[in-house]
Amino acid sequence: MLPRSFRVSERVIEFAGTVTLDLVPSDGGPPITFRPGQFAMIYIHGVGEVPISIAGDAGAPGSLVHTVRAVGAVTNAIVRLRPGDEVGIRGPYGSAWPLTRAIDHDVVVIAGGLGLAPVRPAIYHLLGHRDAYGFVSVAYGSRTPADLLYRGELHDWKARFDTNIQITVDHAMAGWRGDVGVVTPLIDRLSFDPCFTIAIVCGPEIMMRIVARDLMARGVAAGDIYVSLERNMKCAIGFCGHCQFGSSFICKDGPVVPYASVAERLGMEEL
Amino acid sequence: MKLGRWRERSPLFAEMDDQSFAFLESIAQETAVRENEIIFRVNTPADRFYLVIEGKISLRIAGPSRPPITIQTLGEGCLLGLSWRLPPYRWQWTAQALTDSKLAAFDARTVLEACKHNPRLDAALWRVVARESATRLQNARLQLLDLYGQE
Ligand SMILES: Cc1cc2nc3c(=O)[nH]c(=O)nc-3n(C[C@H](O)[C@H](O)[C@H](O)COP(=O)(O)OP(=O)(O)OC[C@H]3O[C@@H](n4cnc5c(N)ncnc54)[C@H](O)[C@@H]3O)c2cc1C
Ligand code: FES
Repeated sequence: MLPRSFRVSERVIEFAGTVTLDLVPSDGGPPITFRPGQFAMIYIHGVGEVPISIAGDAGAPGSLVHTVRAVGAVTNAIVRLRPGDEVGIRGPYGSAWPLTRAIDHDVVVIAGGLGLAPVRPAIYHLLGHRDAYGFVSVAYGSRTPADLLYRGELHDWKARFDTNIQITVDHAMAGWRGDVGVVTPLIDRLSFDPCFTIAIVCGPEIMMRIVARDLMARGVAAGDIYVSLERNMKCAIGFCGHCQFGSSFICKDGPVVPYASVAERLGMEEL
Repeated sequence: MKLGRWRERSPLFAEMDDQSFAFLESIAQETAVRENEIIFRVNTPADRFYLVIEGKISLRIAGPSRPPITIQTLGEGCLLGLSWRLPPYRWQWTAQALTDSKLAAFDARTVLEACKHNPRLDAALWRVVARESATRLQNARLQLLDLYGQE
Protein backbone atom coordinates (compact mmCIF):
# COMPACT_ATOMS: atom_id res chain seq x y z
CA MET A 1 0.00 0.00 0.00
CA LEU A 2 1.35 3.42 -1.01
CA PRO A 3 1.66 6.15 1.60
CA ARG A 4 -0.63 9.16 1.37
CA SER A 5 0.77 12.65 1.59
CA PHE A 6 0.21 14.56 4.85
CA ARG A 7 1.46 17.97 5.98
CA VAL A 8 2.46 18.99 9.51
CA SER A 9 -0.07 21.60 10.60
CA GLU A 10 1.04 21.96 14.21
CA ARG A 11 4.02 20.95 16.33
CA VAL A 12 4.06 21.03 20.13
CA ILE A 13 7.21 20.24 22.10
CA GLU A 14 6.13 18.04 25.02
CA PHE A 15 9.67 17.97 26.49
CA ALA A 16 13.19 17.57 25.12
CA GLY A 17 13.20 15.00 22.30
CA THR A 18 9.44 14.41 22.29
CA VAL A 19 6.91 16.28 20.16
CA THR A 20 3.23 16.03 19.31
CA LEU A 21 2.43 16.62 15.64
CA ASP A 22 -0.90 17.34 13.96
CA LEU A 23 -0.90 16.02 10.40
CA VAL A 24 -3.51 16.98 7.79
CA PRO A 25 -4.01 15.39 4.35
CA SER A 26 -2.25 17.30 1.58
CA ASP A 27 -3.31 14.96 -1.24
CA GLY A 28 -6.88 16.24 -1.40
CA GLY A 29 -8.18 13.01 0.17
CA PRO A 30 -10.34 12.63 3.29
CA PRO A 31 -8.93 12.63 6.83
CA ILE A 32 -8.02 9.23 8.25
CA THR A 33 -10.59 7.68 10.56
CA PHE A 34 -9.35 5.22 13.17
CA ARG A 35 -10.25 3.31 16.31
CA PRO A 36 -8.51 4.15 19.63
CA GLY A 37 -5.41 2.00 20.00
CA GLN A 38 -4.54 1.79 16.30
CA PHE A 39 -1.33 3.06 14.76
CA ALA A 40 -0.15 4.54 11.47
CA MET A 41 3.09 4.11 9.54
CA ILE A 42 4.91 7.44 9.15
CA TYR A 43 7.26 7.59 6.20
CA ILE A 44 10.04 10.18 5.93
CA HIS A 45 11.36 10.40 2.42
CA GLY A 46 14.90 9.08 2.15
CA VAL A 47 15.06 8.04 5.81
CA GLY A 48 12.51 5.31 6.46
CA GLU A 49 9.18 4.37 7.91
CA VAL A 50 8.07 3.67 11.51
CA PRO A 51 4.87 2.65 13.31
CA ILE A 52 3.50 5.37 15.60
CA SER A 53 0.28 5.19 17.64
CA ILE A 54 -2.50 7.60 16.85
CA ALA A 55 -2.86 9.87 19.87
CA GLY A 56 -5.80 12.07 18.84
CA ASP A 57 -9.56 11.95 19.26
CA ALA A 58 -11.19 9.30 17.07
CA GLY A 59 -14.46 11.21 17.43
CA ALA A 60 -12.98 14.31 15.77
CA PRO A 61 -10.74 12.95 13.03
CA GLY A 62 -9.82 16.20 11.21
CA SER A 63 -6.12 15.69 11.69
CA LEU A 64 -3.93 12.78 12.63
CA VAL A 65 -2.18 13.35 15.97
CA HIS A 66 1.03 11.57 16.91
CA THR A 67 3.37 11.94 19.87
CA VAL A 68 6.88 10.85 18.96
CA ARG A 69 10.05 10.35 20.96
CA ALA A 70 13.35 10.55 19.12
CA VAL A 71 15.23 7.27 19.61
CA GLY A 72 16.81 6.62 16.20
CA ALA A 73 17.11 7.76 12.61
CA VAL A 74 13.45 7.93 11.62
CA THR A 75 12.00 9.19 14.88
CA ASN A 76 14.73 11.87 15.03
CA ALA A 77 13.72 13.02 11.57
CA ILE A 78 10.05 13.09 12.64
CA VAL A 79 10.79 15.09 15.78
CA ARG A 80 12.68 17.66 13.65
CA LEU A 81 9.70 18.23 11.31
CA ARG A 82 8.27 21.72 11.22
CA PRO A 83 4.80 23.01 10.26
CA GLY A 84 4.46 22.81 6.48
CA ASP A 85 6.76 19.76 6.10
CA GLU A 86 5.39 16.73 4.26
CA VAL A 87 5.33 13.08 5.39
CA GLY A 88 3.90 9.87 3.99
CA ILE A 89 1.19 8.06 5.97
CA ARG A 90 -0.12 4.52 5.71
CA GLY A 91 -2.87 3.23 7.92
CA PRO A 92 -4.64 3.04 10.24
CA TYR A 93 -3.49 -0.44 11.20
CA GLY A 94 -3.89 -2.90 14.03
CA SER A 95 -6.36 -3.80 16.72
CA ALA A 96 -8.07 -1.34 19.05
CA TRP A 97 -8.81 -0.95 22.77
CA PRO A 98 -11.93 -2.96 23.72
CA LEU A 99 -14.16 0.07 24.34
CA THR A 100 -17.34 -1.69 23.20
CA ARG A 101 -16.67 -4.70 25.40
CA ALA A 102 -16.01 -2.29 28.27
CA ILE A 103 -19.49 -0.73 28.10
CA ASP A 104 -21.23 -1.00 31.50
CA HIS A 105 -17.93 -2.07 33.08
CA ASP A 106 -15.56 -0.13 35.29
CA VAL A 107 -12.56 0.93 33.25
CA VAL A 108 -9.04 1.34 34.57
CA VAL A 109 -6.49 2.99 32.28
CA ILE A 110 -2.87 2.69 33.37
CA ALA A 111 -0.09 4.34 31.39
CA GLY A 112 3.62 4.73 31.91
CA GLY A 113 5.88 7.27 30.21
CA LEU A 114 5.13 7.67 26.52
CA GLY A 115 2.42 4.99 26.94
CA LEU A 116 -0.05 7.79 27.63
CA ALA A 117 -0.07 8.59 23.89
CA PRO A 118 -1.64 5.30 22.68
CA VAL A 119 -4.26 5.34 25.45
CA ARG A 120 -5.21 9.00 24.97
CA PRO A 121 -7.81 8.21 22.27
CA ALA A 122 -9.37 5.68 24.67
CA ILE A 123 -9.51 8.33 27.41
CA TYR A 124 -11.17 10.77 24.99
CA HIS A 125 -13.73 8.11 24.15
CA LEU A 126 -14.43 7.20 27.78
CA LEU A 127 -14.83 10.83 28.81
CA GLY A 128 -16.94 11.58 25.72
CA HIS A 129 -19.29 8.65 26.45
CA ARG A 130 -19.07 8.85 30.20
CA ASP A 131 -22.57 7.49 30.90
CA ALA A 132 -21.85 4.23 29.07
CA TYR A 133 -19.22 3.17 31.63
CA GLY A 134 -19.02 2.57 35.38
CA PHE A 135 -16.13 3.98 37.38
CA VAL A 136 -13.45 5.37 35.07
CA SER A 137 -9.95 5.79 36.48
CA VAL A 138 -6.64 6.74 34.96
CA ALA A 139 -3.26 6.15 36.63
CA TYR A 140 -0.23 7.66 34.91
CA GLY A 141 3.39 7.38 35.95
CA SER A 142 6.40 9.14 34.51
CA ARG A 143 10.02 9.64 35.43
CA THR A 144 9.91 13.26 36.57
CA PRO A 145 7.40 16.12 36.50
CA ALA A 146 9.23 17.41 33.41
CA ASP A 147 8.43 14.14 31.57
CA LEU A 148 4.66 14.40 31.92
CA LEU A 149 2.84 14.42 28.58
CA TYR A 150 -0.23 16.56 27.84
CA ARG A 151 0.01 18.61 31.02
CA GLY A 152 -2.88 20.94 30.21
CA GLU A 153 -5.18 18.04 29.50
CA LEU A 154 -4.10 16.11 32.59
CA HIS A 155 -5.02 19.18 34.57
CA ASP A 156 -8.47 19.37 32.95
CA TRP A 157 -9.12 15.66 33.41
CA LYS A 158 -8.15 15.90 37.06
CA ALA A 159 -10.71 18.65 37.56
CA ARG A 160 -13.57 16.35 36.45
CA PHE A 161 -15.63 14.90 39.28
CA ASP A 162 -16.73 11.80 37.34
CA THR A 163 -13.25 10.39 36.73
CA ASN A 164 -10.44 9.46 39.09
CA ILE A 165 -7.09 10.64 37.71
CA GLN A 166 -3.94 9.69 39.63
CA ILE A 167 -0.48 10.85 38.59
CA THR A 168 2.87 9.92 40.04
CA VAL A 169 6.52 10.51 39.19
CA ASP A 170 9.63 8.55 40.11
CA HIS A 171 11.71 11.52 41.19
CA ALA A 172 10.84 15.06 42.16
CA MET A 173 12.53 18.08 43.62
CA ALA A 174 10.87 20.34 46.17
CA GLY A 175 8.09 22.25 44.48
CA TRP A 176 6.30 19.20 43.06
CA ARG A 177 3.16 18.82 45.16
CA GLY A 178 1.99 15.59 43.57
CA ASP A 179 2.72 11.93 44.24
CA VAL A 180 6.16 10.34 44.11
CA GLY A 181 6.63 6.60 43.63
CA VAL A 182 6.02 3.97 40.97
CA VAL A 183 2.64 3.63 39.29
CA THR A 184 1.52 0.35 40.92
CA PRO A 185 0.66 1.71 44.40
CA LEU A 186 -1.83 4.00 42.65
CA ILE A 187 -3.93 0.93 41.78
CA ASP A 188 -5.03 0.77 45.41
CA ARG A 189 -6.55 4.22 45.05
CA LEU A 190 -8.69 3.41 42.02
CA SER A 191 -12.32 2.39 42.45
CA PHE A 192 -13.33 -0.67 40.46
CA ASP A 193 -15.12 -3.94 40.85
CA PRO A 194 -12.51 -6.46 39.69
CA CYS A 195 -15.19 -8.82 38.35
CA PHE A 196 -16.58 -6.13 36.04
CA THR A 197 -13.47 -4.24 35.04
CA ILE A 198 -11.65 -3.80 31.77
CA ALA A 199 -8.08 -2.59 32.17
CA ILE A 200 -6.24 -0.70 29.44
CA VAL A 201 -2.50 -0.71 30.03
CA CYS A 202 0.31 0.83 27.99
CA GLY A 203 3.95 1.49 28.71
CA PRO A 204 7.26 -0.32 28.45
CA GLU A 205 6.83 -4.11 28.69
CA ILE A 206 8.32 -4.36 32.15
CA MET A 207 5.86 -1.76 33.41
CA MET A 208 2.90 -3.57 31.81
CA ARG A 209 4.00 -6.81 33.45
CA ILE A 210 4.10 -5.43 36.96
CA VAL A 211 0.85 -3.53 36.47
CA ALA A 212 -0.85 -6.71 35.19
CA ARG A 213 0.53 -8.64 38.15
CA ASP A 214 -0.94 -6.12 40.61
CA LEU A 215 -4.27 -5.88 38.78
CA MET A 216 -4.55 -9.66 38.89
CA ALA A 217 -3.71 -9.57 42.60
CA ARG A 218 -6.72 -7.27 42.96
CA GLY A 219 -8.85 -9.88 41.19
CA VAL A 220 -8.96 -8.63 37.58
CA ALA A 221 -8.81 -11.57 35.15
CA ALA A 222 -5.82 -11.69 32.77
CA GLY A 223 -8.29 -11.79 29.87
CA ASP A 224 -9.79 -8.46 30.96
CA ILE A 225 -6.42 -6.69 30.98
CA TYR A 226 -5.44 -5.31 27.57
CA VAL A 227 -1.91 -4.24 26.72
CA SER A 228 -0.38 -2.63 23.64
CA LEU A 229 2.80 -4.23 22.31
CA GLU A 230 5.64 -2.69 20.36
CA ARG A 231 7.80 -4.59 17.90
CA ASN A 232 9.83 -3.50 14.91
CA MET A 233 7.66 -3.33 11.82
CA LYS A 234 8.14 -3.16 8.11
CA CYS A 235 4.98 -3.94 6.13
CA ALA A 236 2.41 -3.45 8.96
CA ILE A 237 -0.05 -5.71 7.11
CA GLY A 238 1.05 -9.20 8.08
CA PHE A 239 3.28 -10.03 5.09
CA CYS A 240 6.91 -9.61 6.02
CA GLY A 241 7.15 -11.33 9.40
CA HIS A 242 9.20 -8.51 10.94
CA CYS A 243 6.84 -8.09 13.88
CA GLN A 244 6.42 -11.78 14.60
CA PHE A 245 5.74 -12.49 18.28
CA GLY A 246 5.46 -16.23 18.77
CA SER A 247 2.59 -17.41 16.64
CA SER A 248 1.16 -13.93 16.01
CA PHE A 249 2.07 -10.77 14.12
CA ILE A 250 1.86 -7.61 16.22
CA CYS A 251 0.86 -5.48 13.23
CA LYS A 252 -2.21 -7.59 12.46
CA ASP A 253 -3.16 -9.40 15.68
CA GLY A 254 -2.05 -6.46 17.84
CA PRO A 255 -0.82 -4.04 18.97
CA VAL A 256 -3.69 -4.26 21.49
CA VAL A 257 -4.03 -7.78 22.91
CA PRO A 258 -5.46 -9.37 26.06
CA TYR A 259 -2.71 -9.87 28.59
CA ALA A 260 -3.78 -13.52 28.95
CA SER A 261 -2.68 -14.20 25.37
CA VAL A 262 0.87 -12.89 25.89
CA ALA A 263 1.57 -13.25 29.62
CA GLU A 264 3.92 -16.17 29.18
CA ARG A 265 5.73 -14.66 26.24
CA LEU A 266 6.23 -11.42 28.14
CA GLY A 267 8.26 -13.46 30.64
CA MET A 268 5.71 -13.56 33.42
CA GLU A 269 7.66 -16.30 35.21
CA GLU A 270 10.61 -13.94 35.72
CA LEU A 271 8.60 -11.79 38.11
CA MET B 1 -9.02 8.01 68.83
CA LYS B 2 -11.62 6.05 66.78
CA LEU B 3 -9.90 4.11 64.02
CA GLY B 4 -12.72 1.72 63.09
CA ARG B 5 -12.98 2.75 59.46
CA TRP B 6 -9.26 2.04 58.95
CA ARG B 7 -9.65 -1.54 60.13
CA GLU B 8 -10.20 -2.89 56.61
CA ARG B 9 -8.60 -0.11 54.63
CA SER B 10 -5.12 0.17 56.06
CA PRO B 11 -2.45 -2.50 55.80
CA LEU B 12 -1.48 -1.49 59.34
CA PHE B 13 -4.58 -3.17 60.77
CA ALA B 14 -5.74 -5.50 58.02
CA GLU B 15 -4.76 -8.75 59.70
CA MET B 16 -4.65 -7.63 63.32
CA ASP B 17 -6.62 -9.45 66.03
CA ASP B 18 -9.30 -7.46 67.85
CA GLN B 19 -7.37 -7.10 71.09
CA SER B 20 -4.23 -5.75 69.43
CA PHE B 21 -6.27 -3.37 67.32
CA ALA B 22 -8.17 -2.14 70.39
CA PHE B 23 -4.87 -1.48 72.15
CA LEU B 24 -3.46 0.57 69.26
CA GLU B 25 -6.75 2.44 69.00
CA SER B 26 -6.60 3.26 72.72
CA ILE B 27 -3.17 4.88 72.47
CA ALA B 28 -3.58 6.62 69.08
CA GLN B 29 -3.23 10.38 69.30
CA GLU B 30 -4.84 12.52 66.64
CA THR B 31 -2.26 14.93 65.22
CA ALA B 32 -2.92 17.73 62.74
CA VAL B 33 -0.01 18.95 60.63
CA ARG B 34 0.03 22.01 58.43
CA GLU B 35 1.20 22.12 54.84
CA ASN B 36 5.03 22.15 54.76
CA GLU B 37 5.34 21.18 58.41
CA ILE B 38 8.18 18.74 59.16
CA ILE B 39 6.87 15.63 60.96
CA PHE B 40 10.29 14.13 61.64
CA ARG B 41 13.83 14.78 60.51
CA VAL B 42 16.40 12.34 59.19
CA ASN B 43 18.79 10.92 61.78
CA THR B 44 16.76 11.94 64.82
CA PRO B 45 15.31 9.35 67.24
CA ALA B 46 12.44 7.36 65.72
CA ASP B 47 10.17 7.37 68.74
CA ARG B 48 6.79 7.02 67.04
CA PHE B 49 4.92 5.93 63.95
CA TYR B 50 1.79 7.16 62.23
CA LEU B 51 -1.23 6.19 60.21
CA VAL B 52 -2.04 8.83 57.59
CA ILE B 53 -5.73 9.65 58.07
CA GLU B 54 -5.94 12.54 55.61
CA GLY B 55 -3.54 14.43 53.36
CA LYS B 56 -0.23 13.69 51.71
CA ILE B 57 3.22 13.29 53.27
CA SER B 58 6.54 13.30 51.44
CA LEU B 59 9.65 11.37 52.44
CA ARG B 60 12.72 13.36 51.46
CA ILE B 61 16.45 13.16 51.60
CA ALA B 62 19.09 15.73 50.78
CA GLY B 63 21.88 14.57 48.49
CA PRO B 64 25.38 16.06 48.59
CA SER B 65 25.37 19.57 47.12
CA ARG B 66 21.90 19.39 45.69
CA PRO B 67 18.42 20.25 46.92
CA PRO B 68 16.42 17.60 48.79
CA ILE B 69 14.59 15.07 46.63
CA THR B 70 11.33 13.40 47.45
CA ILE B 71 11.66 9.64 47.22
CA GLN B 72 8.10 8.69 48.04
CA THR B 73 4.77 10.17 49.02
CA LEU B 74 2.32 8.56 51.41
CA GLY B 75 -1.42 9.13 51.39
CA GLU B 76 -4.50 8.03 53.29
CA GLY B 77 -4.24 4.66 55.02
CA CYS B 78 -0.46 4.46 54.69
CA LEU B 79 1.87 3.59 57.52
CA LEU B 80 4.33 6.45 58.08
CA GLY B 81 7.50 5.38 59.85
CA LEU B 82 9.23 2.01 59.99
CA SER B 83 12.45 2.97 61.79
CA TRP B 84 10.90 2.78 65.27
CA ARG B 85 10.85 -1.01 64.97
CA LEU B 86 14.53 -1.69 64.25
CA PRO B 87 17.87 -0.50 65.65
CA PRO B 88 19.32 2.10 65.49
CA TYR B 89 15.79 3.54 65.94
CA ARG B 90 16.57 6.70 63.99
CA TRP B 91 14.64 8.15 61.06
CA GLN B 92 16.17 7.39 57.66
CA TRP B 93 14.27 10.17 55.86
CA THR B 94 12.68 13.49 56.60
CA ALA B 95 8.88 13.48 56.52
CA GLN B 96 7.12 16.68 55.51
CA ALA B 97 3.43 17.39 54.98
CA LEU B 98 2.67 18.33 51.36
CA THR B 99 -0.85 19.34 52.33
CA ASP B 100 -2.66 20.04 55.59
CA SER B 101 -2.87 16.52 56.97
CA LYS B 102 -4.31 14.49 59.81
CA LEU B 103 -2.39 11.62 61.38
CA ALA B 104 -2.92 9.02 64.08
CA ALA B 105 0.33 8.95 66.08
CA PHE B 106 1.50 5.94 68.10
CA ASP B 107 4.17 6.22 70.76
CA ALA B 108 6.86 3.67 69.92
CA ARG B 109 8.01 3.02 73.47
CA THR B 110 4.46 2.26 74.63
CA VAL B 111 3.92 -0.07 71.68
CA LEU B 112 7.26 -1.87 72.07
CA GLU B 113 6.58 -2.35 75.78
CA ALA B 114 3.15 -3.80 75.00
CA CYS B 115 4.71 -6.12 72.41
CA LYS B 116 6.76 -7.75 75.20
CA HIS B 117 3.54 -8.96 76.86
CA ASN B 118 1.42 -9.46 73.75
CA PRO B 119 3.08 -11.79 71.23
CA ARG B 120 0.17 -11.46 68.79
CA LEU B 121 0.57 -7.69 68.66
CA ASP B 122 4.32 -8.14 68.31
CA ALA B 123 3.93 -10.60 65.44
CA ALA B 124 1.28 -8.50 63.72
CA LEU B 125 3.48 -5.41 63.82
CA TRP B 126 6.51 -7.36 62.55
CA ARG B 127 4.40 -8.64 59.68
CA VAL B 128 3.25 -5.15 58.78
CA VAL B 129 6.75 -3.71 58.96
CA ALA B 130 8.25 -6.62 56.99
CA ARG B 131 5.59 -6.46 54.29
CA GLU B 132 5.79 -2.70 54.03
CA SER B 133 9.62 -2.84 53.88
CA ALA B 134 9.47 -5.48 51.14
CA THR B 135 6.99 -3.46 49.09
CA ARG B 136 9.02 -0.29 49.44
CA LEU B 137 12.22 -2.13 48.52
CA GLN B 138 10.54 -3.60 45.46
CA ASN B 139 9.21 -0.21 44.41
CA ALA B 140 12.63 1.38 44.97
CA ARG B 141 14.14 -1.27 42.67
CA LEU B 142 11.55 -0.50 40.03
CA GLN B 143 12.42 3.18 40.35
CA LEU B 144 16.07 2.27 39.79
CA LEU B 145 15.05 0.24 36.77
CA ASP B 146 13.65 3.37 35.15
CA LEU B 147 10.26 1.79 34.64
CA TYR B 148 8.98 4.30 32.12
CA GLY B 149 12.18 4.74 30.17
CA GLN B 150 13.37 3.10 27.00
CA GLU B 151 13.64 -0.67 27.00
C1 LIG C 1 2.41 -0.27 17.33
C2 LIG C 1 3.50 0.68 17.69
C3 LIG C 1 3.18 1.93 18.17
C4 LIG C 1 4.18 2.84 18.48
N1 LIG C 1 3.83 4.08 18.93
C5 LIG C 1 4.78 4.98 19.18
C6 LIG C 1 4.43 6.30 19.58
O1 LIG C 1 3.26 6.65 19.73
N2 LIG C 1 5.43 7.18 19.80
C7 LIG C 1 6.75 6.83 19.65
O2 LIG C 1 7.61 7.69 19.86
N3 LIG C 1 7.11 5.59 19.30
C8 LIG C 1 6.16 4.67 19.04
N4 LIG C 1 6.53 3.41 18.65
C9 LIG C 1 7.96 3.09 18.59
C10 LIG C 1 8.55 3.56 17.29
O3 LIG C 1 7.98 2.84 16.23
C11 LIG C 1 10.08 3.30 17.35
O4 LIG C 1 10.64 4.19 18.27
C12 LIG C 1 10.69 3.54 16.00
O5 LIG C 1 10.34 2.48 15.16
C13 LIG C 1 12.21 3.64 16.09
O6 LIG C 1 12.70 3.87 14.80
P1 LIG C 1 13.99 4.73 14.53
O7 LIG C 1 14.37 4.54 13.09
O8 LIG C 1 13.82 6.12 14.99
O9 LIG C 1 15.03 4.06 15.45
P2 LIG C 1 15.98 2.84 15.10
O10 LIG C 1 17.12 3.35 14.32
O11 LIG C 1 15.16 1.70 14.60
O12 LIG C 1 16.44 2.51 16.57
C14 LIG C 1 17.39 3.32 17.24
C15 LIG C 1 17.63 2.77 18.61
O13 LIG C 1 16.47 2.98 19.43
C16 LIG C 1 16.03 1.75 19.93
N5 LIG C 1 14.59 1.77 19.89
C17 LIG C 1 13.80 1.46 18.85
N6 LIG C 1 12.50 1.56 19.20
C18 LIG C 1 12.49 1.96 20.48
C19 LIG C 1 11.45 2.25 21.41
N7 LIG C 1 10.16 2.12 21.13
N8 LIG C 1 11.80 2.67 22.64
C20 LIG C 1 13.07 2.79 22.96
N9 LIG C 1 14.10 2.51 22.14
C21 LIG C 1 13.82 2.10 20.91
C22 LIG C 1 16.58 0.69 19.04
O14 LIG C 1 16.73 -0.53 19.77
C23 LIG C 1 17.90 1.29 18.64
O15 LIG C 1 18.87 1.05 19.61
C24 LIG C 1 5.55 2.47 18.34
C25 LIG C 1 5.88 1.20 17.87
C26 LIG C 1 4.87 0.31 17.57
C27 LIG C 1 5.22 -1.04 17.05
S1 FES D 1 5.28 -5.78 10.03
FE1 FES D 1 5.27 -7.19 8.40
S2 FES D 1 4.23 -8.86 9.28
FE2 FES D 1 4.00 -7.32 10.78
